[in-house]
Amino acid sequence: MKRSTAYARQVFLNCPFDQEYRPIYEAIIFTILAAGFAVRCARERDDSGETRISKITEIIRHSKFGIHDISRVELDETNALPRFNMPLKLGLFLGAKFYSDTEKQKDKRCLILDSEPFRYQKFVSDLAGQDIRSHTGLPANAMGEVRNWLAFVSHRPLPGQAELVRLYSEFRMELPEMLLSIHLAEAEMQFVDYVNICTEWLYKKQSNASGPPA
Amino acid sequence: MIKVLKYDYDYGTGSVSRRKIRDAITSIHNKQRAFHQFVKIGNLVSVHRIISDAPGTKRRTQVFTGIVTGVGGTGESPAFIVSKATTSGSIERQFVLKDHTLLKIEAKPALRGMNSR
Repeated sequence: MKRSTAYARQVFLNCPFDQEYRPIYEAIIFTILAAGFAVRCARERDDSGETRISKITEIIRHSKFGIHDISRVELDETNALPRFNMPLKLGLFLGAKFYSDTEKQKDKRCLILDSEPFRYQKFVSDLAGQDIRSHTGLPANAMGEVRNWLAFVSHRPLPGQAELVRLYSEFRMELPEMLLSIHLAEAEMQFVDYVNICTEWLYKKQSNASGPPA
Repeated sequence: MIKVLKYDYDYGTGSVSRRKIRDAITSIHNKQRAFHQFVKIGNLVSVHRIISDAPGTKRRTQVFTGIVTGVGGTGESPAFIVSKATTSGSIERQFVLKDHTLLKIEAKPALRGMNSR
């Protein structure tokens, strides 16, 4: 399989995968792709022959940018324990940035998101002093935060938040029909399916916009 | 709009092939374009729709040709009514643009009025 080596275009997405978070997760993926970046996630491949941590470290190594949502601090309903996966991946990303000898890895940039401003100071006080953004649990806000951050760190002109939200609502309106056409239920849609659908949709939208009028 | 590079990173194929996704998107966009272009009251159109008599059985495409007699629905879900005259009377059918079984909408040449003798 052809793998791109475009380090400066890959964004590692570290966020919860539960149903409640899904609207924000899908909105962030759409924003990253619409901004012209590639989204990398632990869910991008499912290989039982590979340990999860080695997969994550490999993805972190190949991604210049990282988006970490540490908003899921509630106790798990079944185990009554908190989930530590997101802070662990954030730690790995920051470790790669601080301890690596290569300039490429030292140049890593990350965005940390939480649902409420300054709440992180209560559960990860060591992050105090870092600029953490809040999406207030709304997909449109998360899209705006991701868009603004990507525009700032990549020094590239990107569509504005209003344009991205408009595109995304257009995409969401067409998604149910697309899924019915390809005989795929929304609950069955995996990360790779969603990324492929978003990419094809954005590419089609872009070719329609730049091509000759029909 | 920024230039989206197609598959900057190759994730491989998920549960559905990219060609199938592409075809579905193309079909939806063509349908939307045809709807805005041709579906106006008084126009003669052909609506292609997938019909399956029972779930899991062989599917076929049914073409319904008639005159658009109504355009409505909400902004998010437009609908239109097509009527055609048959020997036993008039048949009217309502189509919803977002119906995934609706394959395409074609414009037919305008009806020519009969000349008086």
